[in-house]
Amino acid sequence: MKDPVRSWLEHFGAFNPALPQHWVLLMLTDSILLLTLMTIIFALMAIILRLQFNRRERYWQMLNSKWDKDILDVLSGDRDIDDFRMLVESGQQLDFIRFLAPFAYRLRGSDLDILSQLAQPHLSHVEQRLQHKSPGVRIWAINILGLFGMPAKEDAIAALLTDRSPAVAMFAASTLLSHQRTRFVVPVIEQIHRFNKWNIHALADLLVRSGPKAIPMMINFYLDVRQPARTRVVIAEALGRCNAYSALNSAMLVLGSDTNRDVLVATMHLLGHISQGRHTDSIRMLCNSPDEVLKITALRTLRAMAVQSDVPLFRKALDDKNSWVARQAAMALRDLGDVAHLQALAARDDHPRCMLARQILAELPS
Amino acid sequence: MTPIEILSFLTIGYFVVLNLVYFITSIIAFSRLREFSTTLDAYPDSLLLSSGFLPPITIIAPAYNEEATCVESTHSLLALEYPEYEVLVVNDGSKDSTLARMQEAFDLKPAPRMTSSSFPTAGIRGIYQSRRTPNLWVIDKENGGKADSLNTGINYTLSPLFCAVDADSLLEKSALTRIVRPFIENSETVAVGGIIRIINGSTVQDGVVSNIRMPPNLLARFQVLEYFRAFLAGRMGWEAFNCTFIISGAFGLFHRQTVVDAGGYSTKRTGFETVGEDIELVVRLHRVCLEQKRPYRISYVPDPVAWTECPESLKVLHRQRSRWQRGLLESTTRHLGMLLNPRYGRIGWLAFPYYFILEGLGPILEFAGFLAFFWLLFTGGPGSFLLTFCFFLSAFVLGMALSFLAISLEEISFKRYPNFSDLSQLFLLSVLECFGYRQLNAWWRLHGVYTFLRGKKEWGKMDRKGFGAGIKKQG
Repeated sequence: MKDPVRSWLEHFGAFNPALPQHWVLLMLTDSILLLTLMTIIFALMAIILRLQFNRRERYWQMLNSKWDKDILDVLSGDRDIDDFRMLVESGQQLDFIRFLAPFAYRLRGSDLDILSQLAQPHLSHVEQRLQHKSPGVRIWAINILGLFGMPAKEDAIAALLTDRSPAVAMFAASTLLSHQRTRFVVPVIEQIHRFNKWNIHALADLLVRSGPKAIPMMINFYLDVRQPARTRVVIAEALGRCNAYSALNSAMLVLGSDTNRDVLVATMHLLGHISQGRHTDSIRMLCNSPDEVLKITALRTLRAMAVQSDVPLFRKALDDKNSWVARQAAMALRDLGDVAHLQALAARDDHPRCMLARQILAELPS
Repeated sequence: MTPIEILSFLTIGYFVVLNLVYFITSIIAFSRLREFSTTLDAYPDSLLLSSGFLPPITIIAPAYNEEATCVESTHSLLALEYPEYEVLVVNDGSKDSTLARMQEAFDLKPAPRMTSSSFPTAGIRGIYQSRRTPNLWVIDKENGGKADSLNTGINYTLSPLFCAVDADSLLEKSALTRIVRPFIENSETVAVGGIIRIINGSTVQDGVVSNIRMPPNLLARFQVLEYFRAFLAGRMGWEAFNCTFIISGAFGLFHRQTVVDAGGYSTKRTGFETVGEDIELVVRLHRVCLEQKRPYRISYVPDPVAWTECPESLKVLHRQRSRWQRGLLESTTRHLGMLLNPRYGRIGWLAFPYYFILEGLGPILEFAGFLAFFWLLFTGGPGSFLLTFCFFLSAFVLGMALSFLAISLEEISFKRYPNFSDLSQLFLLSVLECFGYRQLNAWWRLHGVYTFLRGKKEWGKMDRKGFGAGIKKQG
C-alpha cells in the first residue's frame, strides 16, 4: 500500500525520491500523523475509562440503595431470606456477592450464616472465576468461596494449591487451613517450598490456623531432615505459636543433632514457647556460640527461663561487641533484678554500654 | 559531515531512544497497573491488618526548619493504620521553633534510647519521647543535613524495617500496610518505593487529605502531570524489569540491616556528600547486592501515597529541579563502574545507562540540539526550515501523547482526581506545558549539570506554606 502522505506530497510536486532530505521529511510527517492518531486514542481512552468508572459508580450506588435496607431487614429477621433472593436479577449475581462480602468480613456466627445462605445460589458464578486468567481474580474467588462456600467448595479451592501463581496457591492454603481442614495440612506443607519468598512468620501463622489436630503431622515433617530447611523452620515457628508441648522432645533432639543455623534458631524460638525452664543446658551452650545469630537467639530464649545462677553469663554477654547481644543480656539482667549492675554502668559515661543500661533502666516500671 | 550535522543526528538519536523508553515503560505500566488494581481488590488491607503477618516498622522523619508543617505531619504519621510502628522525628538543628512546637504539641520528655548501628553523625543534643503517644520519639541533633538525619534515625532504629519520609509529607492511612506488601510476599525485598502526589489545592483535615483537587497554581498543576508521568509510567515500567533505580526520599521503606551493611546514607561524615542521597542509596543497594551475588528485589508500589507540597514559584522550582539533576549525576558518577558492566546485569545494561546518559547527561544534548537546530534553521535554507519545523512538531505531539497516556494510567488505576473538570484540565496542561514549561525544565536541568560540574553541594531553600496556607485546611 502506498504511503498516503507520499501520494499527497507527490500530488503537489513536493516529493523527489532522489533527495534524501525528502525521505526524512516524509518519515517525520508520517511520525507526526501516527503520533497525533495515538494522542487522540489515548485521550479517548482516558475519557472512556472515566465514563466507564462514573457509570459503574452510579450502577453500584443504585444496587446499594436497592439492597442496603433489605439486607439489614434480613439480618434483623424482619424479612425472609427467600424474598431477598428475588431482588437479585440475572447478571447481578457477582455484584451481589461483592455487595455481601464487606458485611461478611465484619460479621460472625448466625449473621454470617444468613449471608452465606443468601450467597449460596450465586456461588457457581464465583467458582467459575477460579479458572480466570488473572491471579487477582482467582484470589478474589478463593476469598469469597472461603467466606461463603466452605466446606462444600473446599475441593475446588484445594485444586488451586498447585496453581502456577504462588500467591494464588498461598491464598488457597490460607483459606483451607483457616477452616481447620486437617486433611489439607499435608498437601499445604508439601507446597511450602513454593512459597520460598514469603515471610516465614506469615507462613507459620498460616499453619497455626490448621488447629491442634495438625500438630502430630507438623512434628513429623519437622523431624524429617529430608525436608527443605525452610519448611522445617516454618513448622518450628508454627509449633511454637501453638504452644505444642508435645514437640518438646523433638525440639531437644533437633537442637542436639542438627547443624542448620536457621533450623536451630527456629528450634530455640520453639523451646522459648514450650520448654518452661526445662532442658536449658543446650541453650546455655549456644549462648557462647561463635555464630552471633545463634548467640542472640540463645540469650533471648534463655532470658525467658533464666535463674539467678545465669547472672554471670548475662554480665559477660553485656560486654559483647555486638549491641544486639548486649541488649538481650541487659534485658535479662533487668528481668533477673540485677539492677545495681546496670545502674553502675549507666553512671559511667565512658562505658560503651552506658546508654544501653540507661535505656533498659528507663523501661523499668516506676 | 559537519560537526553541526553530527550534533543534529546525536540529538535525534537521543530523542528517539529516550521517547522509545518512555513509551515502552508506559505500555508495560498499563498492564501492571491493571493487574495491581485487580489484586488490590482481591486482597484488601483489612485481610493483611488482621493477619499478624506485618513486621514492626520505624518511620524516620528528618525535620529542618519545619515549624509550619511538623505538628500536622507528625499527627498524620501517628494516625496510620498499622499494628506496630514507631515514629522517629529527627530535628536537624532547626533554627526555627520546630522542636518547641513538637514539645508543646506532644508533651515530650527526655528519654534514653539504645542504638543499633553507629554511623557517624552530627552531635546528638537530646532524645525525647512523647508522654501522650509513647511510639513517638524526637531526636534533637546538630545540623548535618538530611542524609545525616536519616543515618541518625537508622542508628536508633530497633525494628527490621524503616520508612524514610519527609517531615513535610502526609502519608495516607493505609500507606504502611500497602508499602510493606512486597516485604511479605517476597523475602528477598530490600527496599520499596511508594508514589508521591501533590497536595497543593487539596483539603487537609486532622492530618488526612480529604478533598483532592487540582492545585490552583499553574506551576503546581504542571507538576501534577509530571508526577503522573514519573510515578505511574516511568517507575512502574522500570519495576517490571526489577530495575527500580530511584526511591523518592519523601517515602520509601527499607530493610534496616541491608542498608546498614551497604553503609547507610552518604554524608560528609561517611566520605561522600551528595544532594541525591535517596538515589545514591538505591544505586548502592543494587551494587552491594549484585557484588555479593545476593538475591534481592527493590520494588515500587504505585498505591501507597505520600502527599507532598510542591514549589509554586519559578525560583524554588528551579532550585529543586537543578538539585535533583545534580543529585542524579553525583550518584551515578560515584558508581560509574556499573555502566555497561556485565557484572551488574540488567542494572548495568539498562537502568544505569538510561539514568546516567539519557536522564543525567540528556540536558546537555537537548541544549546542544536546540542550538544546532537553530543554526540549521537560519543557515540551511528553506528545506532545513521545514525539517526543523517537522521535528519540533513531532516532539510536541509525542510529548502530548505521553502525557495523555499517563493520564490514562491514572484513570485505569486510582482516579484520585474525581471531577471531570480535573481531567479536562490535565488534557489542557499536556498541551500548554509544551510552550515554555518543558523548555524551562530543560534549562533548569542544564543548570543542574553545570552546578554538578562546578562541584556545588548546597541544597537551597524550599519555602513551605504549611498545610494551612497553599492547602485548604479543615478541623
